[in-house]
Amino acid sequence: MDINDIPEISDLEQPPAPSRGLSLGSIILIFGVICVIAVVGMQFANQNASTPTSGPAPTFTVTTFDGETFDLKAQAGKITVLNFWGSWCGPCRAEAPRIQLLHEDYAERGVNVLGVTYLDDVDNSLAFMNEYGLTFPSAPDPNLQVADSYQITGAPETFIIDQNGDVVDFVYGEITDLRMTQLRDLIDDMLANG
Amino acid sequence: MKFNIPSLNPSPLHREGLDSASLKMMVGILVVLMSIFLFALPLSAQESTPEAQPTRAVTSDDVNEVASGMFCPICENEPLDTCRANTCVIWRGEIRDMLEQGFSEQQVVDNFIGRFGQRVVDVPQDDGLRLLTFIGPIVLGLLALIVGIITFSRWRGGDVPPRVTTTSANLDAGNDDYRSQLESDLRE
Amino acid sequence: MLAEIGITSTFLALAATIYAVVTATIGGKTHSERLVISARNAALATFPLLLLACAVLLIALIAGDFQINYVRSTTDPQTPVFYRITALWGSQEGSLLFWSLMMSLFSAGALILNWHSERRLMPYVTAYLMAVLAFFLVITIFLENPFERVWLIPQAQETQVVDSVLIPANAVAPLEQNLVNNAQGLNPLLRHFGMIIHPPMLYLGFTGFVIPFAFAMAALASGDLSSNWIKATRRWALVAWLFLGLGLILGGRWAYDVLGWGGYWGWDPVENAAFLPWLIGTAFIHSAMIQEKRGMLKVWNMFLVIGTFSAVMFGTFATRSGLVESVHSFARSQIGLPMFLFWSGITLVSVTMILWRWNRGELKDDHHNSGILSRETMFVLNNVVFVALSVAIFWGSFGAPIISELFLDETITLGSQYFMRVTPPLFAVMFILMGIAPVTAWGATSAARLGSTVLVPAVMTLVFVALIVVTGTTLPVAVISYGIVSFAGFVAIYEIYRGARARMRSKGENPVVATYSLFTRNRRRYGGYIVHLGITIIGIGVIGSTLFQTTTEQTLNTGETVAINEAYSMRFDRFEIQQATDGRIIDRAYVTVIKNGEDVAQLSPRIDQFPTMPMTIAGAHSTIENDFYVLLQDWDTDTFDSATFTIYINPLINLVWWGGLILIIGTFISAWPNETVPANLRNRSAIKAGARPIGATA
Repeated sequence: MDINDIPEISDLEQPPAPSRGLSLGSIILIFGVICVIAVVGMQFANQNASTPTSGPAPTFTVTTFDGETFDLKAQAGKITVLNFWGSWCGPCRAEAPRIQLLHEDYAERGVNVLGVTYLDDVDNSLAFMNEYGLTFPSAPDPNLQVADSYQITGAPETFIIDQNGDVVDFVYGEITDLRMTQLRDLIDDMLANG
Repeated sequence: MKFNIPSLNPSPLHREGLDSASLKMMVGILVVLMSIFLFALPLSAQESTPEAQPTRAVTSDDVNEVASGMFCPICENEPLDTCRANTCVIWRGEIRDMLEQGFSEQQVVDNFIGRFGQRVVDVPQDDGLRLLTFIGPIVLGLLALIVGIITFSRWRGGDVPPRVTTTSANLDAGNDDYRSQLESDLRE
Repeated sequence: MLAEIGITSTFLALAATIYAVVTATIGGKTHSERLVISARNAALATFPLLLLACAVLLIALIAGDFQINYVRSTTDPQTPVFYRITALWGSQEGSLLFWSLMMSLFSAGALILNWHSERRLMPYVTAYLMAVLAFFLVITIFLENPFERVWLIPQAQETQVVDSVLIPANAVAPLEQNLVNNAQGLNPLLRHFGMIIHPPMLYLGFTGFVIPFAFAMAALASGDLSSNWIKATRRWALVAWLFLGLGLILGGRWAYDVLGWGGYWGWDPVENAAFLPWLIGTAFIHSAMIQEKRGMLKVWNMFLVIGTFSAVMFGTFATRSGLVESVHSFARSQIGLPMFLFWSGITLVSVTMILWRWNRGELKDDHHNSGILSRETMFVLNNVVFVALSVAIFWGSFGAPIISELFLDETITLGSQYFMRVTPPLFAVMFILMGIAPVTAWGATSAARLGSTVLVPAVMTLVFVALIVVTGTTLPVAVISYGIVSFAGFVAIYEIYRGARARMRSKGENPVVATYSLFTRNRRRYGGYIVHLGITIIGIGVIGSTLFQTTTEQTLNTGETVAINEAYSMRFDRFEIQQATDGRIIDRAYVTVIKNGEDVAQLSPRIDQFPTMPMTIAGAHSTIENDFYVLLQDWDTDTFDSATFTIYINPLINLVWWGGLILIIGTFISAWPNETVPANLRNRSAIKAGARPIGATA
């Protein structure tokens, strides 16, 4: 911004010989412009990082409502169904029983179902879990760290993470009965092959 | 071309008196304005001290008062008091509950920040972020002020004795009397 | 068939822009008159081509050619014709095409009107204008083509559905009925007169600033660094500034009427992104005067012009790329990256060019400031204030949130609390300068003389402030703000009066003739005073509606009355549910506004339940004094005998709109071409154009 860093042209009588190159002030100014552009560009790249629908799942560690620690890195070799929900959200209510059933059917076969609450009050979350008899572990997400790393924009959103820690499927919104059938088929395949 | 026509060139003494008076005035104006700018920020930043209040009847206006300084992360840039999304309605309900339990406004806000981070308020409450928020415009404002002052001094420094050209001579002559200046403008 | 015409004409327009850039650059370097004229003709040809493309899209919208994806996503068979027309700029693809049309219109205007007076700059101006237009046409054609259609490709197992601009091999058009069933209709929020005029006005404002930008760049490229480019572009800058201001005011009106939060300016990043070029542009139209009259601030003006256009491009990029989240956000799309590259490219190149010329000593000022207390000084201060405002607003909307998120890993959003702390002191300084600067002479003036010139307006201000206090407004902030703002207005009024009186004395004219000739003889100055007056009135409206807004949320039973303040109360009469012909359900409450015990107005705040979204429409009772503004929030869905309302009393809010009107009038006076010179130019260019018809030399 500072246009006055440049040495003052004091001689009014004679036009100075055109100097080659830029003065220090000009270089600083250009550097400043580049910095602004770079920061905006970084933010743009950051914002554009879309929801991970394939490739390595962002790792995280959370403490569930039961007080247990869940570390995604430690789950290598196991399939993880990561479900973001909130007690305030209608579609979450609709899909909750289906996810509970999934947990009941697959827990013994080594499939993790983990709920992470999105923008929810702890008391409300616990009441919600109670109401729907949810027995799969759920964890609060203070400061939305998990939600941010998965670029969550609302609830519910669900990620299927395979034995190698890669995201293999993603459901935006409610998991309908039809979608749940597809997910179960997918998990069956993964269990058979992995 | 470059004569300094005496009648158009104000006497040095006159000029000197003129400028020191006006210089003082300018500096005065600048100091006053910038102190308004600088001090208005930290002072007004210290509002709403938290104090415990007894359980009370909470009106929607009380809730909205607190909510007006907050955002819900679902609908960014829409203040919580006017947002109609489901989450906002629930959050306003939570604010009402807390106020009824005797939370102060500040405690309510702190509670939300504790759970969801600084994004829920429309000016960060965290000291470091607050500093970042307000130091930016102050530093840049000061920078702009310095630029302005340097520009003045450079303008003045490079102009002794003043080189009066035809156009500025006309204008300078016009300055002697408002009427003639006006007329000269009208003639343009 | 329609789509093919549109595709062909936009493509030809792109070809013309590229041809113009190349030939104008070569022609400018080699001083080839033939090439330069040819480049101009190609540049002029883009306007009819883009006009045809827009006309085709418009016909497709009106006729309901639902195979075109854009038509299907913005209209449906029920959409009234009026909204089919406005759908032209209702969504990303169409608005980009419309934007290109506006830019080509401005380019054609500048090329025709300034061709002879700025002959030396013109090859470069043509090249820069067309380069910018080419960029927009490229993203329109290759990334966001409004003529994209849906096709079915029958294959062995199942039919493939393809979105394509060109017709794929073996493709057939889908059944009309299927297309119609998928039509979506225009976003209901956009069904408002403010939203219908607001985008075109903003686009005219944004694209208009391309002219000063192109002239400045042409000056830098050609080395003709005299003030010619400033003289040529002052009017263009004023026109763009006018449209941008109009767009901002209409946007505010739209927010007030439709968004349902009782205000007109939310300091939303997208609003701010449009406000930034206006602020920098305002600085430019002031400091351009210094360069024109005194040959000073040459470098600074370059920075301002480039800053204005850079702010336009940044705003467009930030808004359409999802850089920041906002109620206004266009859907995130592929154009983010090219927009970012274009914005950063032009900014970096132009700043480097200024500094290069400056370091060669080619941008030296002709004069130095002789007195501290001079109009030049005031204008520099004015520039400092406007730039500081832009920086503070940029910082709040983009700077701080971006830095916090990137480097501190904490998402923050700055809202009105930030802006209402940082901007008012700067606006106060702006209004003080607005009062003092017009009566400060060029060169130098003395404090004593300045004091005597502002004596009468100062006394008027004091009387006005005393009146305000006597009538019951004692809040110190309000009294001081009203004083500062009204002073600027009184100076403007008093200067007009003084000018008229001087003419009456010297020419013996009657007051009406004197005022009229005052304005015709010096449009720019006195038009400027009218603009200042408009800004003052807006300022008073903003102070009143910001500091004294009353708001309350109340739940009422049928027939119940609630007192809002000493004067006003409101009664809830009844509740109704209606269904409109277009399928939306209208939940409507009827209330009566009671002032001092008398019924003054019946209002019906309502919520329109569109299939996609609800829309809250306020009931407002508007008087000179204030707006009584009611929003329906909630109601008893079983019995309908109680409802919750948010009630706002917004004092003086109408002054914001009226001030806007005065601002427009003032800008028109300022920007209106002078009779003598442009008439000559017009004749000359008419003769030349007649002698050398377009196309003959191409």
